[in-house]
Amino acid sequence: MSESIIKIEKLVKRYKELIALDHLSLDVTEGEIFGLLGPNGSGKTTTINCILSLLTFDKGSIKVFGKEMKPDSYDIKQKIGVVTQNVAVYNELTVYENIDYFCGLYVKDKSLRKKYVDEAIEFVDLRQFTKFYPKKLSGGLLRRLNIACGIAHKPTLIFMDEPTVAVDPQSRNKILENILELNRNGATIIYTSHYMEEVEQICTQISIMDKGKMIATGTKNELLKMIKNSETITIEILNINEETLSNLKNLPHVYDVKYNNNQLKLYYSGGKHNLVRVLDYFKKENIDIGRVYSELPTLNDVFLEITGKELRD
Amino acid sequence: MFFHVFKYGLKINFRVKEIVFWAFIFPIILGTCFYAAFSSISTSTESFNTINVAIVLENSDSDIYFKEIADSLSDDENDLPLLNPTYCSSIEAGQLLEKEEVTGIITLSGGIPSLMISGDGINESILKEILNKYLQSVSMLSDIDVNDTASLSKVLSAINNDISYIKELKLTDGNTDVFTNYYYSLIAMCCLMCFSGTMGSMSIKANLSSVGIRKNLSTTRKSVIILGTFMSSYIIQAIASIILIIYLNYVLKVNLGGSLPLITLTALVGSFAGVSTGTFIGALPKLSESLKIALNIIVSLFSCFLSGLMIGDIKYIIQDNLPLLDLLNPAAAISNALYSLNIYDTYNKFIQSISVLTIYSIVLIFTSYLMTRRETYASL
Repeated sequence: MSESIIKIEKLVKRYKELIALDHLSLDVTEGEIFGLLGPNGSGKTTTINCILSLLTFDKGSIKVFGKEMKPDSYDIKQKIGVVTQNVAVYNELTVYENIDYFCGLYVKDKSLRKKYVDEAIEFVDLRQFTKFYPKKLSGGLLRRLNIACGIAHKPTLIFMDEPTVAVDPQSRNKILENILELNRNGATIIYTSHYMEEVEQICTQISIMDKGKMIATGTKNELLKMIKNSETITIEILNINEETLSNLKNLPHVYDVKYNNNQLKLYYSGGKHNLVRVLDYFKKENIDIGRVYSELPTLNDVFLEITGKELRD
Repeated sequence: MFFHVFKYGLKINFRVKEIVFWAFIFPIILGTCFYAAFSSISTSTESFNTINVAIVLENSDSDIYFKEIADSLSDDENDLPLLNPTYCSSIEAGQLLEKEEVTGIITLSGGIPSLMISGDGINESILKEILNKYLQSVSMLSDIDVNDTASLSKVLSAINNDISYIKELKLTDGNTDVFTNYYYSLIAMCCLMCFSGTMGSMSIKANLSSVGIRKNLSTTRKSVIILGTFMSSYIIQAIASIILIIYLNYVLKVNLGGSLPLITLTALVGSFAGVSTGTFIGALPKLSESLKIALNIIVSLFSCFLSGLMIGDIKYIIQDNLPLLDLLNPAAAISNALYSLNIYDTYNKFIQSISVLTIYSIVLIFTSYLMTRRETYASL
């Protein structure tokens, strides 16, 4: 069984009247890519800052590598890498100097540090930009530099706080590939984002947060099983009468039917071959239909069903 | 780790344009402005030109005494004669005065001169003094019995020698130019206006920057980061103050008084105090980045103001009325140290000022460390 690397129990953090974290508990085990998903202001970054002992908290307990994290817990800090939400580099230092500087805050040995810095540069593919100053880099390259500065000292627990904000799709894919590679190399990763597609794509364990509370935790499939919806079929159709709508509601596994703007939506809870059955029905009734789509539920549907609002409100 | 932080601290400081400008360029610009301003004041106050004067004689025998006096004062045996007399009629004299070609008109009537002037400058005052002196002498001589040779001899001696009852003693070999104090305050300002200290200290704060978050999470101890950052700022400030002293002393040729090595030592200790002040301000909790920079400017300029950077007399007003403030003001301590090197033969005052600066710096650095180490935040 994998070891628990971070264990949070009933964490409460208040900003005066506002409760930023409300009895939040979570458990991250070794080797996971743990996704913290939630809208802006849901408490993701606050959670990370509390874990890192940057922020004080009001109640609860946090254990990192089985110990309480304190400002002078240097043994724990050595194993931690942080990729901050805002790019944390010096504009006055070149790409190489920035990575060397931050790596040097962890690694004393010069030759080892040089090796680590070179490996970090290769890892984020910034070799041709080593002499560039950050201001000359594009948003995507800057984010990659930010990652290199955070992981150059070979941490085994990496916090990535929205590392793909405001980057182009190509750089985003590169960053996500990097994260998967870090995980394959043995690092446990805590990944916060409000992009559900990213979380779905890379995270092995996901916690969904809203208003400082953990509203659901599990693998992607476990989360999807928590909700009623298993498939949504959308059919373009010009006119439909009440009788047809009633018949469609009685099809197996259909729990809801909606018709708006010439679009018919059928919501299913379980069942196989749902699309075939509904197409057979229209053929038998001799009703003309247009385009047909079948969609599986997403984490947004999970969020929607639990909170009653969209993830990207 | 210390050398790593120190090396990169130096690189960053030398590449921040604001630090380079305020530490290196601004004091030199200000020093040049002081030099230009004080040079023109010195020229206007110290230059003297021969006084043109019109003398109207009545062509009597009694004219001869005053004419002899006037001619002796216009004798150019010396480099610059006091008077340049023009003997003319009263009408011509009036025209010359109207055209401002002469400072005044001396008219002799019965051997007694009277003066007509049209202004109230230094030259007019000199003419008045010459006439007063002449009239006093004439009066003394007319009261003496010419047969009383003993009294006559005393009077003539008194006329020939201005008797002074005050003996002039030179108290110092230093430069007593009042403008030198402004240069001392300028050096103090150069030492104290330390943005690199404030910026370096702020870069350790997790609530002010993401770089601060990284530093807080690193395994390098806060004390090492603070010390490395402090020393890199200190080197910048020390170099800047030494460059200013070299510029003032060798380029502008300002006489700073005192020995140059001790002046440099004062600047180095002053820079230490400046970086300590900057570090302390940067380490203050709960203030925003811009507020800390503003506070740095206010503190450094206000302390320099109190030491006489803008108005020289302020320094003496503070010394007389608020001596404790003068003692604890780092800018005043720097300028006092420089002043004492210039004026006093002993080093007591100098050592006192240097000690104050050193204690002040150590207290601020230690307080900054206490404020920064093991720091966690209520919000980021």
